[in-house]
Amino acid sequence: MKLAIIAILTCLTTTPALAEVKKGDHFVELDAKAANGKHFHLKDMAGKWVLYTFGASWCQPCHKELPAWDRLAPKFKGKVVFVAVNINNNIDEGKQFIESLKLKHIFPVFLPDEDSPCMKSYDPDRMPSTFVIDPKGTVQLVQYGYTKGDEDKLAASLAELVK
Amino acid sequence: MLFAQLAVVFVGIAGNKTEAVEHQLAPVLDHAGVTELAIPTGDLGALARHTDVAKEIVRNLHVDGLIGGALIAAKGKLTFRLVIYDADGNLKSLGETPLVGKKLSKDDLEVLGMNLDDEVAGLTKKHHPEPAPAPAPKPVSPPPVVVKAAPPPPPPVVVTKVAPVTQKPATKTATSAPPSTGLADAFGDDKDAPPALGTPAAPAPRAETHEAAAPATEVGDAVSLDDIESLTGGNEGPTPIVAQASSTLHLHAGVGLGLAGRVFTAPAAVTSYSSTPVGAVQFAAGLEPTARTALDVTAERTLTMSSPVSNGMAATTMSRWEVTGAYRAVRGAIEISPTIGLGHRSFSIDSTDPSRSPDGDYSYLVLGAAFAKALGTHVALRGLVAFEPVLSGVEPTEMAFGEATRWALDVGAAIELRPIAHIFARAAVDYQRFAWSWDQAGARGAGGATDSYPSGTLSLGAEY
Repeated sequence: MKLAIIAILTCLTTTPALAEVKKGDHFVELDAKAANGKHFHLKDMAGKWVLYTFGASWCQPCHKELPAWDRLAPKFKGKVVFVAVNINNNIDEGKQFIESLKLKHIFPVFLPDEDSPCMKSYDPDRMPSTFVIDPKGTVQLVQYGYTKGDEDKLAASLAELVK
Repeated sequence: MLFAQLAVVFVGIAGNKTEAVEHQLAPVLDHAGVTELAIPTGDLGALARHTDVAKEIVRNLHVDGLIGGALIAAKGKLTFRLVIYDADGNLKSLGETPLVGKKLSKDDLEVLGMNLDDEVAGLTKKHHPEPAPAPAPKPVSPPPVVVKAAPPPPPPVVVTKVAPVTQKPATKTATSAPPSTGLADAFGDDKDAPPALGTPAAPAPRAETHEAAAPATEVGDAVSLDDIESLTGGNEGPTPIVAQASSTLHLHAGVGLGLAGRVFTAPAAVTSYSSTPVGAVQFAAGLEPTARTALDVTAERTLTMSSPVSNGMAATTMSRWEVTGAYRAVRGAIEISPTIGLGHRSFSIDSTDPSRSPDGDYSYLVLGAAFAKALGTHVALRGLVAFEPVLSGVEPTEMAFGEATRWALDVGAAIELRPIAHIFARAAVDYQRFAWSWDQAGARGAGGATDSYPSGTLSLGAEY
């Protein structure tokens, strides 16, 4: 119950208006958890560029997109933190999905409530969706969907952003 | 630009057992430059059926065009329906193609691909007109069944909230915001609240940090940057100390120096042997050809060793090699690997002195398990336990005692350090003990013999 209240307060205090997060906006906080149960907050990544991408097991493009980002991540070691936000409502399904992808360089977190006000800010109806925020927390890049070869374009965009 | 806006998206195929057709369509969509996008199943069905809400669904996606599909079963036959919408949600095309054996025929797929190329080009050109006139399109054969859509009915759903989206092209006139729950409105006048999301491009002030929009965290068990970097190999850190299974090929090799000794105890009629530890060199290499398998080879040999015999000291050699395969089961920070392989151990004194202790010669099977446990990000403990039945090898005592049954137990432990990426250092100890037993009636060697090989090694290696 306490956690539920915290989650609600988190969303209330950080989502003053429900609208699509887009480039130039300040990030909207996530109340996600890591696989080990620890809380994950974007604010704790302050000082780093963060790429976070929303996905779920039922999202077929996510099966291709996450491994592509995983291959990309080592090129930005130490500069960009890669986070996979799984929004499967069933957290066990989410964990199985993430485990099946054998991601090595993306940190998985779980936000099993795609209908939460927080998530609506990120428009979970469009998947996969990727956001990049700068060290100050401003959204610098938004991408929806995945096309084969996007990793090269994303790499170029990231390189330009973090240089 | 790619990330400013989606162009034409493919949102999937509604229905059951769609994998085969999706697999067929994948290269066609790639060729047409279509972006894959997942949407809720209900929305996909509505688009495929072209229901009243289809227009709103397309508009909310802010795309130049949308392609969707459905598998329709009727009278025992499967038909693939393909729908194409433009940016405003108008149905541009609706085609149906009978499937052959739950798949599109080669010809149908080819025609579909050509049509898709043209449709996608038309959709993107509409919103991104090129400065120069495009060459006249090639005439394209229609698919077997193509129904050009009648003008769609006016949208029954009125977009009630309109928010300008600055990065969207001018041709996009409006987009609907997600429905308000009412909760956010209650905070609309909060002067201390972070910048309103969804307002036109309002970059955060330079001084603003993540903290500004962060919730008050009362818990001390939050994920930190260090946690992430240690678990994802970020920040140029070392390779995960207990490697996670991955599909990429990994190689490692290392060399080490150490000490090795031998203790042989035998029945009174046989000369026993005990050496002080002497210098030895060890080589180890391995590869992981698949995500869960590992192949390793190790070899070691004494550098200089001598043994006392009746006429002085005789050169002595002690060596060992093993080739093993393992199945790696990784559970978090622990790795358990059932291992099987072949090995050979030999001990040889270069002397014909009949009173000297006998040589040792063992070719054996390795049946064991290896363990690894990460201690943080830079240190790991490793262990090995193996039962090693001897398959063959010269038995100097066979003439006197008959053939012996021989087997070995091998236990080893190591502490491994990975100070930087791709480099590891290892301190290891190992104890291999062969047991001999004679079961021939009246054998003088009743009670058996033991042949033990303790060793310790410091090694340095690299891995990729």
